[in-house]
Amino acid sequence: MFNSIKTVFHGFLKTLSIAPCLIALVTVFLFVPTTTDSEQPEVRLEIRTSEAISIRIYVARFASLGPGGLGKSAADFEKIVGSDLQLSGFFEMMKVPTGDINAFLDGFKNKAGSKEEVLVEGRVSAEEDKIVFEGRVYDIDGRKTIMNKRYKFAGRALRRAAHLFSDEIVLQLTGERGIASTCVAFVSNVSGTKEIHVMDYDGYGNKQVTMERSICLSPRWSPDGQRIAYTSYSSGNPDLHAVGRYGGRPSVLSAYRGLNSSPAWSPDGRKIALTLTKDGNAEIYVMNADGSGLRRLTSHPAIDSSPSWSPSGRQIAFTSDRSGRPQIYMMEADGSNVRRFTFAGSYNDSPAWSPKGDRITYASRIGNNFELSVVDIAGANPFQLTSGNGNNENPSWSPDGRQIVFSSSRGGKRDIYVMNADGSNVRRLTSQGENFDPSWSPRPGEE
Amino acid sequence: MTRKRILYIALVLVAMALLLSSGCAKKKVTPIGELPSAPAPSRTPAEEVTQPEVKAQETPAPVQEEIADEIAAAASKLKDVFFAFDDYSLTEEARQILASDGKVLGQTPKLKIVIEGHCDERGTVEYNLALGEKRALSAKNYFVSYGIEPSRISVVSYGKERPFDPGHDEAAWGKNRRAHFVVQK
Repeated sequence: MFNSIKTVFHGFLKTLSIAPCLIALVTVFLFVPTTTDSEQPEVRLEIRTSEAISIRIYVARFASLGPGGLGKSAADFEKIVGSDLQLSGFFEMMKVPTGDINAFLDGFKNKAGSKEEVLVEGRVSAEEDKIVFEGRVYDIDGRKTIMNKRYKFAGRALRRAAHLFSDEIVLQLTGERGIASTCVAFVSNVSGTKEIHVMDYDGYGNKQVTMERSICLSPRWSPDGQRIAYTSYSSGNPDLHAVGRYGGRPSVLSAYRGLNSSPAWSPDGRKIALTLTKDGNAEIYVMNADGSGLRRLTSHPAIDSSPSWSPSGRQIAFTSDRSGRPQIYMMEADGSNVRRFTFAGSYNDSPAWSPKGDRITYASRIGNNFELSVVDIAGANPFQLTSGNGNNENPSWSPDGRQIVFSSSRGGKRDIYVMNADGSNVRRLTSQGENFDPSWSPRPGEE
Repeated sequence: MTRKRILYIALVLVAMALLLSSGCAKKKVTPIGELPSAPAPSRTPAEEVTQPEVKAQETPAPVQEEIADEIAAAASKLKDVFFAFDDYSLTEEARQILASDGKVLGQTPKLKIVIEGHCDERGTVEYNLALGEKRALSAKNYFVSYGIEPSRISVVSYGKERPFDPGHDEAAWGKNRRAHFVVQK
């Protein structure tokens, strides 16, 4: 028996000669980890639900493999990803202080801090006429790659690929997909008339989507992100149109005499609530998304306008001046159980229900200006989000409920601004012309 | 068994045991740039990413009818009426103007008009659309009471979207809170 064991060991030794074994022995003794836990670390890091930032991301300089022009692509890609992760508000962003990632990681002592630490790396190369990006997320503490991604794209799609990568990182680290691939539709008069425009959530890629050559107002994204409903005066009457998100020929959804305004898609995309004055007075109606099946929801001689659906699709918030001045009201989606929601202030309008369902933001006249406020759905704890110069109006939530896009005249003219849901980190997205009435798109692929 | 052999085997056993149990501490980090042909990344299938073109398509404008000179001349005599802030009721002055406008309309039966309702820039886009329409309707109701055929009058609200005065003070705002009369085309 001993002979057979000996044979096995001899065979083993032939494939694994003794010298490296001895070196390995020595190496292992010198580099024993401080934790003796032999279990594999979690692949997905803990979901952080509080506002406290507890994940630190190091973004390495993205490498390029190939012709000189790719270096710029790598740098652009890295800049977009870094910016997306910074804007998400989830992370503490750090630069890798050296180009030598190995040295950086070697020097990384296991700190007894409370922050999770990850490294994001990327490499750009070329394949035929396309660019290929390979990226990964590496959990520094657990010393494990937790995500690998590979994208292939033409140069013009670089921003989109970078945003996709960022969204995957956010999904991996927080459990919810990021919003870097989303867009904002809005009204702009840069072309000479008020038309519908679409830009990326970070202000890039501003494109004109309609050419109605009259006045367009109140763009609203369909929940599948494919169409934008809006009011147009191109026929002489404010009709409701819909256009594909990449332009093309608009269709007419509703053309009753009088107003066809403030469209609001139900969360399942099957219905649109809107304001019509065809019966002599501004009332809220609901119709199928193709314009059929019109049903009236409100019946009051006051102005009823600006509907906003709850994410459950069972409630609608709206503006009514039935008490004498515009205030926010709520009703069931069939028009029943109308009840007043705001009581403070003399003019409250433009309600926007958070996709999380727990809060409503609206414009409120405070002093001489309009400010944005947010309140929970019990109507308690109103919190003023904006202050200072100019009017702040038309709030619209990001699909993750963490940011609000709005129009503000604080800079002297109306422009599109975005801020965190607590009012912090206000940034301007537009510059030329008058820009207002923004609507935040759903995440791509969302229903 | 010789002592040499025992030592030999023991060494091998220890080496094997240590190598197998050292787990995740045994590899150093190797970033992507250093891997010659990184097996893990290249096995990940590439996701194709495309960026479609955005093309706005022109919406055809409605055909405009020619207006007879006599009709245009009568329409130019119609004076606008103005409203108080956040209000759509007719002031005494507004009623006097509408009375004289009504006379013009009565004298020119072929004249059909559109009453445009306008608001100043304060207040939200959508509420002002509805307020502008109420202002236009106030004027229309006056004309109808005066005896003008309702079918000769249509209304449209521009809310605060087409101000007459782009200024940001009461002088400008006052000019923008109005009902404005144009020939129906």
